[in-house]
Amino acid sequence: MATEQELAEVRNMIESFYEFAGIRLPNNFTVNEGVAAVFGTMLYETRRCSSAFVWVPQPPGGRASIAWLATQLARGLFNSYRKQLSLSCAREVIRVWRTPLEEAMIGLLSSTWRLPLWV
Amino acid sequence: MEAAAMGLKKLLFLSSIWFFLTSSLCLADDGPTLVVEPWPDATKECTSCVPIQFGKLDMKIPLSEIGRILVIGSDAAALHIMSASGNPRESVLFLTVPPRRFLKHFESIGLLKNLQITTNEQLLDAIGVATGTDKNIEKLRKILEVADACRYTKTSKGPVHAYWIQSPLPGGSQVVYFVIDGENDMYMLAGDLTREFFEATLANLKISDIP
Repeated sequence: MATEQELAEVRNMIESFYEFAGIRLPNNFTVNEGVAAVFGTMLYETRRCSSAFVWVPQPPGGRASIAWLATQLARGLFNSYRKQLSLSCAREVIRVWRTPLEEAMIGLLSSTWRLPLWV
Repeated sequence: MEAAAMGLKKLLFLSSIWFFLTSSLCLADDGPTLVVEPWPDATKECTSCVPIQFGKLDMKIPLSEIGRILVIGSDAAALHIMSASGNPRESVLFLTVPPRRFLKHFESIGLLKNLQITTNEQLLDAIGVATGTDKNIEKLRKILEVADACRYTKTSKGPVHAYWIQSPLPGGSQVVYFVIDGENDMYMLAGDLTREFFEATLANLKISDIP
């Protein structure tokens, strides 16, 4: 069970990522384990177009969780990595993964999305 | 008499403020209803246009709308068109949307159950009306960002249908789905989309086989 502090950390990271890309978060934005998994996928996918998060270690089982994000990227680490990200890369990743994120926000994240595992 | 006139003026002023607020902030509780609009006319030959083909979308985009065309490495086929202003935040993005990310996906998670939907067009038409009763339609409207949109429009020409989910949010939150009759793949145009760019794209759009 995620703590309030972990939830707040992950929320700040997602807000920071969207702010960097110049895209507003959906109105119903909430953080849950599904959202953390999709957000982790977004960060992983940025590796295809930037070197920003290449040094982040692989999460257990290859799938990001709230606790893992809070452990690996909290306390300003996320923003430090983010500085190496390109705007176009962030925008593309957000757009490609926006529908799964919307699904996750209403508690519907499906295994059929086959989120890529961190390797 | 004068007091009545003042009262009427005040009423008109307040109602105009209310109209402005409701139209600009999109206060409709259940989101917009799909509106069918005419396809933009290509009034004259586009002489200073750049021919761009993305998948089967064969377009001629005015040079004035393009600052730079960018392709970056990523899983999905994607084409960025950055505006002539040079501001990288003012850009749009073309993406391919395969069935596994749309129709087949929603089918596999049970959201199309009992809905008699077998095509992309039927799905995008179905989410054009807030039913208030069908939970799956309401979920789809939420997931596809129609519930939070300002306007939702459809414009068609021959086998092509363009659905624009117009977001009230500033920044790159606009989404257009291009559906082609008989094709499984759809195309998405997303980002900081202006009406000028949308109309310019549609005005000279045709469907071509991939050369």
